[in-house]
Amino acid sequence: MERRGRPTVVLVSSEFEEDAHASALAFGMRDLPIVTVPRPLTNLDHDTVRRFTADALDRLVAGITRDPSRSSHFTMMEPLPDEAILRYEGSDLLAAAAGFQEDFLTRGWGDGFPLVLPTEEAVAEMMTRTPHKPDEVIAVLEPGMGLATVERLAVNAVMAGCRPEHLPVLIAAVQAISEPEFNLRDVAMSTGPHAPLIVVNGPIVQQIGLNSGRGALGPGVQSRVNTVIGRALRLILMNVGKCYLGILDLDTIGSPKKYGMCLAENEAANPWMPISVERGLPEGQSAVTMFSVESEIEVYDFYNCRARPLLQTFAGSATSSGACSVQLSFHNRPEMHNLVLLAPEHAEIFAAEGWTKEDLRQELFKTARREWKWIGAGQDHAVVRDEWKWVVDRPDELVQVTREPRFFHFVVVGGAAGKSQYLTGLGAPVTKPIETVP
Amino acid sequence: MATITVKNPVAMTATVSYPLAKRVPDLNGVRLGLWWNEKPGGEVALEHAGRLLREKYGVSLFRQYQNFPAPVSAIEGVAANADVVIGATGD
Repeated sequence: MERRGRPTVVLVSSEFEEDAHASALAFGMRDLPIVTVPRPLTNLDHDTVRRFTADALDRLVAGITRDPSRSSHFTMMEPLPDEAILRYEGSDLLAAAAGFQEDFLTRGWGDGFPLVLPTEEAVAEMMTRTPHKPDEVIAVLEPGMGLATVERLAVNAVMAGCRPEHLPVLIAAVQAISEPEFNLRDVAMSTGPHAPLIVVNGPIVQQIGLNSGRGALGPGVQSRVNTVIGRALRLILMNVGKCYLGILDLDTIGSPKKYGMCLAENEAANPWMPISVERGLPEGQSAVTMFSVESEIEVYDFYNCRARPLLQTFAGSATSSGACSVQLSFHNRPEMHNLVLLAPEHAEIFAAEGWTKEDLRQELFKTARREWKWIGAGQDHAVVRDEWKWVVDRPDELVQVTREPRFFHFVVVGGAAGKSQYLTGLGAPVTKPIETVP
Repeated sequence: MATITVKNPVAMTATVSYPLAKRVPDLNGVRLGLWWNEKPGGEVALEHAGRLLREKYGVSLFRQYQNFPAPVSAIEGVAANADVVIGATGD
């Protein structure tokens, strides 16, 4: 609105003040007037909301009638000079390394776990398996609009414990999450525990040792490659995308999945085509498909050997109505896609009866229904999409948990024993090829 | 004494800086846009602010309820129908 000549002032809670200023800086409006109230207005009685608003009225008026003063400086949003080399001294190398750990972690440049030293030699070595040049900008990474050069990605990959052959996966992942349909800004900045999930297909899985079987989402030595690649993406989101907790990441509680998630599709156990092929890439092309994950719900079914009753169990997990992607399904929001991690036995049961993934999609859509009162409690006509306003006054009406069948996706992964997972999401998946040097 | 040197992990930003719009010194009779991102509580705050400003300054109100990312049509709609804007996120 400011860019269209309309003076604007934004009302936020004090909890989100730093985020508001950091966002204004990131999006090019450093001095945007921001007025605070003492606490978030969500889950607050309306009389108190009105009282807060009345108390803030003079400041709101000032924001649109008077020239704003210069905004505060936010250290974490303003990096060192681009060529900065950081030096750490100690009585010996171990002491110097300890100084590095303490400094990086104190600055907020890590995830809390010890970091691998990103020396010049290690970073140079990290970039030897990608055809991209060190100063090539892979993306401008939201929410902080950081320039994701190959070198910056490599620095964070070293810190996470990656090897050079892992960097091409990360580059493809960054390309994918930068596409608008992934909705990275929402995923990264949300008050919810949304996190990106890297799904890898193709020859690179075997080549670099990714785990598609038991414990693919970790922990364990079998998933050591999965672990460091997932971790690197989180460090990239932080240090390149500026998605720092309390600054541009306003997650209320957090989640262990935000440390990193990476798995390979179990192509040997997959009775259908790989998801990368399903999404348009040629067979045999190594690829990543990026999903955003909000919540994970187990699909425990050891009992059913037939497709339809088994599908019922999946539908039960999908009707967990507290999930953001269910609650907001009928709002004016971008697409919110969900992912089913199918255990091999479950996939086999569906395929044995001739079910395709499209059959699964359609049947899950038809079966996963919940009464509106569970989904729409407290929602009114103002926020519900026009074509769904009719349901607001019908609490016992059975509605589907998502707007369209195509918002369900399926990846076969994991070890034996019939436990799948249902993951709700915030954005749409994106698939990109992985490019490596021969 | 030993020294370790490491590379900077933090990216430069691509942000372009935009100038803020010229402020409107007198609110009497202006068109006030109320932009709500659909987080509960935000609409209550905006409606109350709008009512108070209408009583004090005679502003007229234009409401936009639109979550992120807002389509260009929504942005252009507010720009066409409001002289000043108050936004509320609810958090």
